[in-house]
Amino acid sequence: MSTPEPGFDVRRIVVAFESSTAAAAALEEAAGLAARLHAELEGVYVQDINLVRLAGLPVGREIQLLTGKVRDFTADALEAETRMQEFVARRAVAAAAARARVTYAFRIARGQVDAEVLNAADSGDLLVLGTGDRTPWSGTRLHHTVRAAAQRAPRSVLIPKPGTRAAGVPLVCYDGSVGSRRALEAGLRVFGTHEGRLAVLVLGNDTTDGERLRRQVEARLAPLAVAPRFLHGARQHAAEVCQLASESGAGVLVMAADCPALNEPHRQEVLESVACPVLLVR
Amino acid sequence: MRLPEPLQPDQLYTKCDPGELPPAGETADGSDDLGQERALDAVRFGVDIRRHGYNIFVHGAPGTGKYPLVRSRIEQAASARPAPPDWCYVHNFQETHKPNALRLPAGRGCRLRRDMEQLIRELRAAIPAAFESEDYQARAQTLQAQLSQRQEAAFNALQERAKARSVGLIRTPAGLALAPTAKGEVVNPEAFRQWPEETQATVRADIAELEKELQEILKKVPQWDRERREQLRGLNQEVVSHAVGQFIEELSKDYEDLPDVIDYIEQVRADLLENAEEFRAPETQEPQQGAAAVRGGPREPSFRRYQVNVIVDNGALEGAPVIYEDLPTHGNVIGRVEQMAQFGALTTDFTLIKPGALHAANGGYLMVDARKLFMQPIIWEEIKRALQSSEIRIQGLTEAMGFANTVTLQPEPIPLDVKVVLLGDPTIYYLLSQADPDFPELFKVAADFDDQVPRNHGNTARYAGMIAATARREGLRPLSRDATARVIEQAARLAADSERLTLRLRAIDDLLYEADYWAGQDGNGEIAVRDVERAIEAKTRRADRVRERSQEQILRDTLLIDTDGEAVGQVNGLSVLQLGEFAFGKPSRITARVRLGRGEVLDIEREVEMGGPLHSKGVLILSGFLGARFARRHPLALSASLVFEQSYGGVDGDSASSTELYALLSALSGVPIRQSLAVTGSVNQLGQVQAIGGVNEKIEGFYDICAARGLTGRQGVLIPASNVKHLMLRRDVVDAAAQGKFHVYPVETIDQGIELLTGVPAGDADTAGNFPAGSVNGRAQATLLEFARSARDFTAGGGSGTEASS
Repeated sequence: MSTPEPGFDVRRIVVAFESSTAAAAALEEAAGLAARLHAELEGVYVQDINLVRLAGLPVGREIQLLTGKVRDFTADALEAETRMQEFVARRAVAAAAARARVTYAFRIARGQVDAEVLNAADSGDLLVLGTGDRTPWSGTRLHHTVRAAAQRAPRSVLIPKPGTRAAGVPLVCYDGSVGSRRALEAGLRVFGTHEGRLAVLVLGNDTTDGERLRRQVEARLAPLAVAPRFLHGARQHAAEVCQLASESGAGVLVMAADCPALNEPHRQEVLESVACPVLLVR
Repeated sequence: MRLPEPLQPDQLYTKCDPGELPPAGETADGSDDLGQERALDAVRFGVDIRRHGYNIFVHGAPGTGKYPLVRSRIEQAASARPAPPDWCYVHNFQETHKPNALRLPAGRGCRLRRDMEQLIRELRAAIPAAFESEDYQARAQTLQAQLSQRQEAAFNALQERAKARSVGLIRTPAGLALAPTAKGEVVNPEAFRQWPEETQATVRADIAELEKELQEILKKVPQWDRERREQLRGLNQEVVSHAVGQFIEELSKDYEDLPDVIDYIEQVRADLLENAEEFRAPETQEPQQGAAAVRGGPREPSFRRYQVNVIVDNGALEGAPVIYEDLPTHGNVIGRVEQMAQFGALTTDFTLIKPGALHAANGGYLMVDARKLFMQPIIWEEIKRALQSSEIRIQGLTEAMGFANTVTLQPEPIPLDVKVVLLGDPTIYYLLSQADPDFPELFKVAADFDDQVPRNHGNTARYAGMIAATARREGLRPLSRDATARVIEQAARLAADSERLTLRLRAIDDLLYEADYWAGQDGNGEIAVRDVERAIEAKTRRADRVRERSQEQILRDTLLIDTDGEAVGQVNGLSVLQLGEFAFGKPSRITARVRLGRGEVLDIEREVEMGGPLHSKGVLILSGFLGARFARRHPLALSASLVFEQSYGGVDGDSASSTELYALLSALSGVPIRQSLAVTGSVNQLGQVQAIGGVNEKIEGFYDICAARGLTGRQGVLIPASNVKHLMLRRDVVDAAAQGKFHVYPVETIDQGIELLTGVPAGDADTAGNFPAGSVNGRAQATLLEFARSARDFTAGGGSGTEASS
């Protein structure tokens, strides 16, 4: 394993989730990282205040997705459901921590989901999102909570993708900015290399600039005896980034949350379209 | 009356003159059908005639060489016929449990199997490649995106309409809900209750309306998804059709002369299109086994159903097949459907169909040992059913017996064109003829193998040729002419007839093997007479422990047999004991007692149920003889008892009836019988002595006792004159006879025999039926007359009977 440069340290990993089904994969991911980084795991179960309010409204009715049937959405039913979810969530966090042999904490947050997830992120160094299962109307787009976390979370965020784990060769987007240098450190710190392999996507203004950036990365990695595979892409070109990530078989994409080479909406497009999980570094 | 003279040595043993045998080079013609012309003509007829029911039953005594002879004739006929077609079982795509049978020209079954394997190998690479192509991915993603967009558009439209009415669409744990919102958040219930009634009512109405719309959308979602799946399925079929088409067409070209195969290939094509998804799994994935693989489990590739199970491959065959089934079990003959354990359950599919001997022999000949066949359950009925219906229908044993209720495969029956050749004992043949009405219909040809052949010059020469051929075929040392002659003499002995030769060739083969062994022991380059004799003696020695014990008991006077002196009402009889293939003669003392009675001869053996029916018949004949000869004009007031002394194992056969009559005549006449003689032969009511079996063993049995005690020159055996032609006695017996130390008398009548046994004339009756006083018959007649008078006196005035013998 390579030795990271000081500057990106992870002591507490927060997993925020609003249902036990969404939590399972995120918990495993977070627990694995916690074990690797010798960090503490914190599970935050977020109870949606909108559901509490809905249960209190005289018009609160639920249309079940599986059957299409309509039933009253009562406070009693919600409370029972919530208790069950809390129990399952607590147990899932404990079990994941036990398997990874890391210490853990568990708490419950109630409020608007997006806000509570952002709050939860503030209590740790890395937020792993266990929320954001797709709603029928979201299509292939990211859940609004994921988008909110990507845009506004105060800490780094690991954005999961359905059916994948953050494993394999890390691909770091590097444009020479402070954020991308931090992303390179974070990639090394969090994921290290995969069987000695690391890929760096250099986003330079031109070939010369690309070469300059490449040399920077080589200089940084030389003491670590890591010889990355370099890919070169155009700046502000999300589709190319996604394609290179796919072609290179990247296991996780690491990029700065404020990467100048990928401004909004290109950064958002990358988050929406890339097939592998993304570590958004702050 | 002229008494018979003792037989001369040449009458006791008919030698084979080596000089009459053809020279060694001319004997080895290898002819192996000596004496079996009738049987082999029948086989030839049965093999040639191509009509239903003309199957063959070859019967004959064991060891007569039925199998090799018949097989060689059948193979000869089979080589002139064409090789029959191959048969394969393939998957039935319409009814999985009924695999289809495919018929292909010889050799093309395996080719089809290889071609199908190659096809699947290629498709396993080609189809995933097609699915991984950019074009396919793009089109599939487009379909998915279309569905997503459709859903998204519907929900977004609903959301917009809801938003316009300040209503939000919320995800709940189990579904969706509509709720009044303000600034993107659900309205606090307390605040909602503060709203005016009209506003609340409007919100309720809006939500109710939107709920209906939402339900409509939710109803459509599965339908849209179904449509997407259908479109994706269509796309998959299009991709597979393109990927498969070229391979299928190439394959079809090779089989365009076989419509059934073309039809099968088309079914494969349709199934491939129908189940294209199964080919998307990585090629390295191991296919499933058993029925699950054939039926195809979820997300598991299953290619076994495209396999070809070649159950008959006649590719390497030249001519029609000739199959001998050594173990004719149900499965081995009819075929079977095997099963394999999978996760604790037994499963099967068409690839586990195994052929039986009927499949292998289809278009040719199936040879089965009848005895082995009838040791197996059900199989006889199954063979008959196959022959009657001219098809092979594979079903399990329990199913055939009506026990099975489980679901299993029902392979399509295969047309059957086979000639079944059963080989067995005559007993089985005649039993079947009598007891099974189907048998004469299905086995119209009987080939009857003889177990003897006349010993004439021509046959002797052919026999010599057969011996030489056997020696050459089996890699034995060549036989000297003398040795060959000695083997032929033994063949006559085995036939129990000096004028015939045995055709139980297995015994002759064994003799040759053993003679060769002894020749080898002595380091001889050829088999000599002494080797043959040593083989015969050694074989006898190996088997004669019981004979030795029996003789020992006589020599130690445990069993009472006199070989010298005289006794009234007592005679030495002779019997034969058969122990497996070994037989030996054993003397038995037979005694008779007579007294006044009602004309009955009491067979004690029968009274204690130790005598068989033939023995009883022989005894009853004696009453007829005595009555006719001595009591024509007065009642036969006799009560006689006959017994085999010290017999504990039962008696059957009538070969001792003359012996018993001699004992009776001695008892009636009071004339003692010479104990140095033994007797065998049956007798009729006229007093004629008739032929019996086992004459050689009987003579040798008595000779052995006499020789052990010391030959006196007075000892000998009385045999029926009609048995003289059967004599092939041991050399030591013949030698003793030649030296006048032992005698064999051929007897034609009881009078000859009694005179030889007693030394007293039997006596001829005058015209009035009276016998000379002093003769054996005269004395017996007097005794019987006295009995009759005593009986009359007793009936008239009372009195006791008279016993005539001691």
